[in-house]
Amino acid sequence: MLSMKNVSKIYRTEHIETHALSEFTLEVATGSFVAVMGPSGSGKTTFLNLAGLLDTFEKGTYHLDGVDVSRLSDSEMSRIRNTKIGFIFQTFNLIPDLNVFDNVDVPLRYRGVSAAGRRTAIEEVLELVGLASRAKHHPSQLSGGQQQRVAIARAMAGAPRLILADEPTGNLDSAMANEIMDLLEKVNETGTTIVMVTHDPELANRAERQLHVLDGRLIDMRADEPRPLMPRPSLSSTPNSPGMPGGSIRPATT
Amino acid sequence: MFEFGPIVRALIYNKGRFWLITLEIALTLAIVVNCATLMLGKYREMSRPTGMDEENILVVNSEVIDAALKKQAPLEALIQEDLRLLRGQQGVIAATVLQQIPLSGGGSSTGRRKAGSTLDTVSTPYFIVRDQAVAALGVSIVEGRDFTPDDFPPPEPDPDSPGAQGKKQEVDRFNVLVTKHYAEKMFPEGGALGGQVQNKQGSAIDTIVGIIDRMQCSWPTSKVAEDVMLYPGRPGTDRRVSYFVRVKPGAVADLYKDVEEKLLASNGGRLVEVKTLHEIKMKTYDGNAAMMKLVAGVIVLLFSVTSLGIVGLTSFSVTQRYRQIGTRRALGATRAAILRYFLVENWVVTGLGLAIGLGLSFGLNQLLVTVADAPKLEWGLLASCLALFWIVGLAAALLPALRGMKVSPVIATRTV
Amino acid sequence: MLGYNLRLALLSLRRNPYLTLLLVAGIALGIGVSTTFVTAMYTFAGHPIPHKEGTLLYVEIDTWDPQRPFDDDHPERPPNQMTWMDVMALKKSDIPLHSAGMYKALLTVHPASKEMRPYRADTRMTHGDFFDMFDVPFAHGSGWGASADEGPEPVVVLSDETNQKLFGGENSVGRTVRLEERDFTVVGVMAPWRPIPKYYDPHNGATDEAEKLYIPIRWAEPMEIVSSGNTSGWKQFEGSGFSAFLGSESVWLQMWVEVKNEQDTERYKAYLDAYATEQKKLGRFQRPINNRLLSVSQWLKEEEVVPEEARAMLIIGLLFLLVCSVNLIGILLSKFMARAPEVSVRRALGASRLRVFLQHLTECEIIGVIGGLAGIGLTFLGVRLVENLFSANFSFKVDLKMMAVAVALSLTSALIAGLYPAWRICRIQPAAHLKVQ
Repeated sequence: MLSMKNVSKIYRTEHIETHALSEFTLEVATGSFVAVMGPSGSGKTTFLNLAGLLDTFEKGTYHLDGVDVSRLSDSEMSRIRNTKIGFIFQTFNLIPDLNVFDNVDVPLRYRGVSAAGRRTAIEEVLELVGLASRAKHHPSQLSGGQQQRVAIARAMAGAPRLILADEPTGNLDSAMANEIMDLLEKVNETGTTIVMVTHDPELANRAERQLHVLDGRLIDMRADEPRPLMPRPSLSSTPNSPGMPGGSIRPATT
Repeated sequence: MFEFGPIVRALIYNKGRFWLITLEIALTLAIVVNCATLMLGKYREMSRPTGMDEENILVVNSEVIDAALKKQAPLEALIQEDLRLLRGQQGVIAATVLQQIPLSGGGSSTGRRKAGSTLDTVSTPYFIVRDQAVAALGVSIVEGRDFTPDDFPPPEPDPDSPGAQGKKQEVDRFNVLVTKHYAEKMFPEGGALGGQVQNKQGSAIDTIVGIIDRMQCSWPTSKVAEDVMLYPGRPGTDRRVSYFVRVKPGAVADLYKDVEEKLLASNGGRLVEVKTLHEIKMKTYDGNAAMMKLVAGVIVLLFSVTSLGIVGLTSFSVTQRYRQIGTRRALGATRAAILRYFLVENWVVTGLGLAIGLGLSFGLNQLLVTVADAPKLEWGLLASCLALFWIVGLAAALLPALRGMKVSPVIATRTV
Repeated sequence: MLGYNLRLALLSLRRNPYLTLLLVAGIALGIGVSTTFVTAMYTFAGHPIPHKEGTLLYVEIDTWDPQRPFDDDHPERPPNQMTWMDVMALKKSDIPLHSAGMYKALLTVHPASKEMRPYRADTRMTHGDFFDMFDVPFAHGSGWGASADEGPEPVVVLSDETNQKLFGGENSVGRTVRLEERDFTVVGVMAPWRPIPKYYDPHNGATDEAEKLYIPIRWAEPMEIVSSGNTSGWKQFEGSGFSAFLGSESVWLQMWVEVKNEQDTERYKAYLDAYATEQKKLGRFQRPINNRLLSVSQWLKEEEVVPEEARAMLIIGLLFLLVCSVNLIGILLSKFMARAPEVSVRRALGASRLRVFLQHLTECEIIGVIGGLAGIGLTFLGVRLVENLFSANFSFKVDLKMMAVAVALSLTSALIAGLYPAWRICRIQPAAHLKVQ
């Protein structure tokens, strides 16, 4: 499903060169549920950005669903994000001005689905996440868990091959988090590949495979193998990792 | 692809985002439309054709100040001499004398009604003219004939005003020329040519022998602007005389320079003052021109203020939505889709502002018509203003929208 | 608390000087444009001589055509000017403190200096009471007495401008000026005087300057001086020549009287009615007796001296200020909302909503004060510009009152513009902005 070979991502500013990912190689099988772990600044967000075609990289190749997506134009990337990938974010990222129905509608609009087709798809996914009755509500009227369920519905509405989840439970309490995980597992059972970034080992354990990212490199281990000790603090020359809150180091444009 | 529905629903949900822009556009439209109406009114008024060849007519005022010369009045001989001199100049087509100056803001009018009728008399601006008047003013006769020498009274006695003849005859009878406008007003059923008008008492009866296509009187902004009657006579024999000299195109400048000197050389006991009829007209319209500039200035200032305002407010609303843009990009929106989103949104907001502004425009116009006698709004002008605003609104939104378009989808995975 | 608010506000304004400049410039522009038009309106609509309201009276008597009223739109009004005969007759009454008939003429001035060509100057033909009645300021000498009216004596009063032109500005009392073919002795030189509107004769140019020369009105007869203002007539002259014109029913003069009190007004009114009755016996005044004494404000109102354009521009100017205020709301809103995190901290530290609200309003009012002061500067500029555009035919009154209006407008619009943004910022949820910091 997802195949990265020797992918490197370097952020450049005038003075600093930051290796966010180096020689990153990864295979994710179709239909699997993979958890990506790592301390903050390890490069897992960068990995997610590249996997989700939100950002570009310089070296290496990336095949998604058998297609080489390493060097695509911005609009081609947009199209693939729209048709093949569903996103779930830590902060939900629902559009506050739109009600639940219209939020789920967003990716379908960009795909050019007919009005009737959109309506059916939206009603179906809202039913799935148990929020059909809240279609006319705005995000501010929903709890965090409900909001994330809307986000999952939005990610699933277009029936993507791959769902990328970025700390989907990070802003939720544990009861809520379990509920969301149940939902993701349900989605995974329909054959959708899920790659979830998290730093919660308990949640990661519910995935069938855990990956560890450390200093931009991958440490792969199976879920049934014993976990290593928590990675030690980084001693690399790049203490400030990219993708940090506030964006203190911005991607160099290439 | 086209997100009209969600855009409108989002705007309705978050009104704070756009009501300021809507209000500003509505107010600005109302003010600009009404300013433009004022301006257009002033422009129309001053650019109406006067019927005269005003650019090529020199108005030469001669005022006798020499005491000895003054005593010789009536100064018929001096006028004849001056006319001979003026008519002999290079490029001169014709020269005459009018007792008042058209378009100048100061003139004479009398009351006339259709002869034999019991109607109220109608205010009738008139000019007493000497021979060559039609040629010297450059007016065209559409019906009937020009004056012939027989139409003019003999030199004596002084016929300075049409009423002045009353003392010698029971009834003054003159052959006159009138404008088409006046002819149609006095003879709505036709038959103006050869028709007669009279003063209230019936002591003056004028026969219309020719009809002039168009000529404006001394008060070009009044209701009777295009009602003119030309009387044959011998004006100017007092001490002040106004010569009207029409020259061929291109010959104005030379004569303008020399004419004072030449007249003074011929007789120095006077003051001579030269202007083109066009200059006189523009002086009368000074206020119009000034008003137009003033209003234009206000429009320009207002446009700058409002454009800056729209850019600022749109920038703010785009900046507030960076995260939303990132999310949309992550969900598959192309850059073009983001740009389109903001432009459509602006289009809706501007449209709403213009719709409200349309109502305000009429309201403000009504107010201005009532308190300031302003002209009424015109649909053509309104339509052009609407189109202009749409473009200005879109242009002002383009910059922030382009900035929004460049927001990277990566922003969606940031936790801040 | 006010001091603290002021300090915070100044700090905030200094932090982003360009934005502050934009805010101030925006409001100053609005104030400049609107106050300019307010000034224009105020100039036209103001009372030119308030302390004589009710005692300085314009005289109107109905001498018009028996067949129809003078003004078809206002049939109840007598003609707005007078005949020569009536002015000369009414001048004889000693009921008023002062009285003067007058009209406007053009006279040829022959300067003594051979270098200057003769020129024509606007002249007011009037009685000697003119100067006291209208509070004319004198630089040298004074007006002329009643005896000079009757002779008439060859005396002249010069405007400041004419004195500059003919005598280089020195005291010319006693010198002579040649008008047409007669020598006149200078008895007075005015200080600069420009009544706006020209209320003693608005009918012949309400925004015109005062005349350059003043001579006794009776010189009209021997010198045959015609009016350069409006003349209206309804009846043919009897006889010929200038004397026929003077004896005609044509109206072309203005007549003003000044009375001591209301009693005298009544007495004078009775005198006018008696005069009309007497004239009726002579076959004149065939209309119903309709004599009026108008105060300055009544007279100016009837003459409609306020240009319609001034009214239109006043409305447009105020709306312009409104647009500038809406603009201000937008900029303030983004400025304040950008400060949400800082305000969250303040709120978390215990600042009440009211306090946050007042702190932000204080900031708006500082902008209002500075904008208002800058607006006064722009008003001066705007007023000059408008004067120049209308070829400086008159000058506007920019006085303390106008400046107060400018500052008041500015403070009000800043307050109104600041209310909504300040309300929005004081209502933000502190938690939402603290969590992510």
